[in-house]
Amino acid sequence: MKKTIIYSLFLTFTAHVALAQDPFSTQLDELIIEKSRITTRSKSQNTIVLNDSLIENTTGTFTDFLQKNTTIYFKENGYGMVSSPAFRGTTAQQTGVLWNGIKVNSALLGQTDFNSTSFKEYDNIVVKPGGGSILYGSGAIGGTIHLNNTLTFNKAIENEIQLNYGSFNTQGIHYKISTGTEQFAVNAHFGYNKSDNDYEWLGKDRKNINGEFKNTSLGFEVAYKINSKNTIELYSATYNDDRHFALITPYQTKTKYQNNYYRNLLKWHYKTSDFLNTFYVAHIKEQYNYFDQLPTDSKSGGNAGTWYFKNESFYNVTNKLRLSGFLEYQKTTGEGENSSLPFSTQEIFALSVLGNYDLTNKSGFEIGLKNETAKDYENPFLFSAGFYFNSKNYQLKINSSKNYRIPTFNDLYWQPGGNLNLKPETSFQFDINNNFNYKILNINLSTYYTSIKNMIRWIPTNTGLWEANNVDEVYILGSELSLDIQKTWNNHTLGGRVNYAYTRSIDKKMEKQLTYTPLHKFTVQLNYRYKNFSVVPSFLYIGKIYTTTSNDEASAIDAYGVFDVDLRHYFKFKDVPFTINFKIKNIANTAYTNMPQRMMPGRNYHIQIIKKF
Amino acid sequence: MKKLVIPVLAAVTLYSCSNTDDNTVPTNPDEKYLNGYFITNEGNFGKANASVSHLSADLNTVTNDIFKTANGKDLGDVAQSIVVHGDYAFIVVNNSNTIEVVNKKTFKSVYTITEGLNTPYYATINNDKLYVTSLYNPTVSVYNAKTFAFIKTIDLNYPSTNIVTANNYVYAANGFYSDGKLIEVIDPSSDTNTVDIAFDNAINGITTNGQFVYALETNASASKISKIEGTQIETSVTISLGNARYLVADNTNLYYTAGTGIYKTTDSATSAGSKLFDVTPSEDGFSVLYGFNVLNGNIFVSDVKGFTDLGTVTIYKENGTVTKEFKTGLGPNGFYKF
Repeated sequence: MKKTIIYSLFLTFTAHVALAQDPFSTQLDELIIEKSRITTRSKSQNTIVLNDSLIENTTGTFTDFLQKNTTIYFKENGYGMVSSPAFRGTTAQQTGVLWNGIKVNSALLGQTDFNSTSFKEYDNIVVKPGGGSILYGSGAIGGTIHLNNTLTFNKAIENEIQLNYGSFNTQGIHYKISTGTEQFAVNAHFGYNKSDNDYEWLGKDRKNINGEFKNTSLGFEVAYKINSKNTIELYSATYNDDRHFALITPYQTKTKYQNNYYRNLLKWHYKTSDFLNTFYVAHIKEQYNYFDQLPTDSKSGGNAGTWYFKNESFYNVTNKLRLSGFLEYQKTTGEGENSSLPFSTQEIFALSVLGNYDLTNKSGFEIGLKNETAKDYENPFLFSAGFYFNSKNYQLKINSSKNYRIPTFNDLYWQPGGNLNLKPETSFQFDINNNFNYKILNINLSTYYTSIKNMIRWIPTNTGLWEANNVDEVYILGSELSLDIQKTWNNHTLGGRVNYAYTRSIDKKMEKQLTYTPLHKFTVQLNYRYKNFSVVPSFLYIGKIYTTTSNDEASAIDAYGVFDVDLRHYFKFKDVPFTINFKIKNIANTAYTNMPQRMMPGRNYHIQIIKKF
Repeated sequence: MKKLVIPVLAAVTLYSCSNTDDNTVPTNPDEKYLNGYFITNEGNFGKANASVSHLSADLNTVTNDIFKTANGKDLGDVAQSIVVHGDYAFIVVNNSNTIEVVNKKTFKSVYTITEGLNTPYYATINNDKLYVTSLYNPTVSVYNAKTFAFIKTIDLNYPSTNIVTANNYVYAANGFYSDGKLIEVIDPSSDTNTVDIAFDNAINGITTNGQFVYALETNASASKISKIEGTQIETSVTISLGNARYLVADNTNLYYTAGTGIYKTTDSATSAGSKLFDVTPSEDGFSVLYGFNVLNGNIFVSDVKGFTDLGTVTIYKENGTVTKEFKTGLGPNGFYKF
């Protein structure tokens, strides 16, 4: 593990390791890459790392995973259907998703559908609440989610295979291999999921109709160390799914949606003892087909391709002062197929600088500036400023920034209704994060204020057409609390994590809570292990949500709580050790929805086998 | 199911009785709607929160969500339109592929038509047969309006939106966003599309006073109203307004809208008529006039609040004064006589 290159962006644990070292003493220590990024990028903002063992022991959708492990609220059109996040009370387009450092939100829709995105192949997933447009561009308003693969040199071959089977004929297979020599590091992975998803609609006397889905993901990463200063890496991922859309009423016309994406990324790192330069070239392609009249072949679709060039430079000017500069160019072309999106292109050029300065060995501040130009809309000038203080038991991070979300292709170019006069959504935020750690306990508390202007919405006009317009204004006052505890004695380990989010997201015109945004979200996960056996109970609570801007009570969706439990056993057979994971989801058989009428599954069972060799 | 519904109904009945000064005591306590207007609230697409509201003839009493109240179940996804005929109201539920047939006085469910429907849109009744257009298919589905049995599917040239009956014909107007610019005429004796009446522009409104059929065609710069008798255009008048919408007939007049303006002409269709007034734009600057109709001299206008909140309906007089304003369900899109 000594020579681990962790290209993931925000591994806080590694950061602690790195901070313990003199950054310039270990010549060409690979951790320098990681370290300089962390120091320049997240000293004044909180990051949450969801590590590989958490990812490994999860079955189900990416939505399930994040809903259970983070404060982000997700709403789904029924299990496995279109899933949209509300991160810190913002909209789905205001959550940025990055894949190995590259923005991957849909150019057509501006958002990521978390039930149409694979996640099992990542070595860690980092969640970063709060605005980050200086670093991550458009959409980083509520927060960002980073999907990272890790490449390791000098690593023996490691294979991992996972099989899962469960209720509603839900099946999955995931395979991962990784290895490394002194010069090469390679990973490859494959995943397949399918489900009939025909669960009972509790209390409604019918099943979930036309909810079946399947998806495949395939990818690899390669790193090659050319010499002591230069390393190149190649990342490649493809994903294809075929998802029927569950019917809301039984005689509806059946439809399905196929979503495909192809992502390729080449990174070149050049580094000396106090300088690191990373150059990115990426091509990202998304394509969808919507079958609107099953079983006929009638369909429409769309595709978008983005070429992405980015250069990041990190320079340690002195022991106290670090500067970084980012230069980005992206060109996206998109076009509908049998739909109303004409061939359209968009070019964005961006320049940003970020500096941070240590005032003492415990504290410092940072400042970032960004300017961006785009073809069809005016972009605001962005900034961020932060302060950090780190001591053994207490860490403080204060951050303020201006962030934005650009109009999507559909918002701008869809005919009719696309609007070339749109402005980007802009947001201002202020965030204070406190972290206390004492022995077995860690407490993290964030308090923030966010205001968002010029929110884009499609509304019907009096010509009878719908049109995209900048209409809404929102301000959000919120708080996030997380509590971690871990205690080991003899053969026992007891761990727990509690997350609570309080989100007052207020529609300024109505002075009422934003629709589909719960005031409270609470999750708790406990983990008790005795030798090779673990019990992992968990609980999720989502407060009441309103579906109308006037917060009409009759159409509100009730609060709900869902209990799950996992039972794990590691079988230490000499030649074939493996883990069996038995899961009971919604153990109390609670009937609940998070979108009107879209019933979610009752009690369901899954079994997962994990084998490493 | 019925046992559950009765206490609810009783409560509602008591409430509404205590609120009306009406002297006519219904003989059947379930018969709560004896006159007035029905309003379809289409709801959010994909959220199955469509509903129907009722407004009494004196415009005093509004009752929302009457289908669910009467039946204890949801209406479905996107209530597109209603045809009221005889004892029944036929509620066309577009994205549910259903037509809910209810007793119009009690609003209790009588039957749910599911056969032969693909995104049903608008409907009309001719000679005890129900004719239903489809949003996506170039067809009209035909049903027996008494037994609700499916009879046949009539092929058209293009998907059609509004459909009306006059004299011995059924007229299906091609959808504004379809490629067609036709009124496709169906002969009910054979239930086939026998004649097509061609227009220069897409059709954005069709109505009838029982004797003649009127069609409104429009483009971005001008519009035209044509008066049709039988299968022939009898007379046409050009209107120097682009994007005119919603041609409706009431009494001996025709009404239409352009932008936020409400216009009136006579059913001789010989002049473009004159502007009555402008409706008040909604708060978001849009969303108003999602639904429009003129019934018994009352000008009904809806504001759907961008489909993010319960809609409102405003009733105007011809001079532009507001007679009544009230909240409905989500997305009020149509107004129908009892």
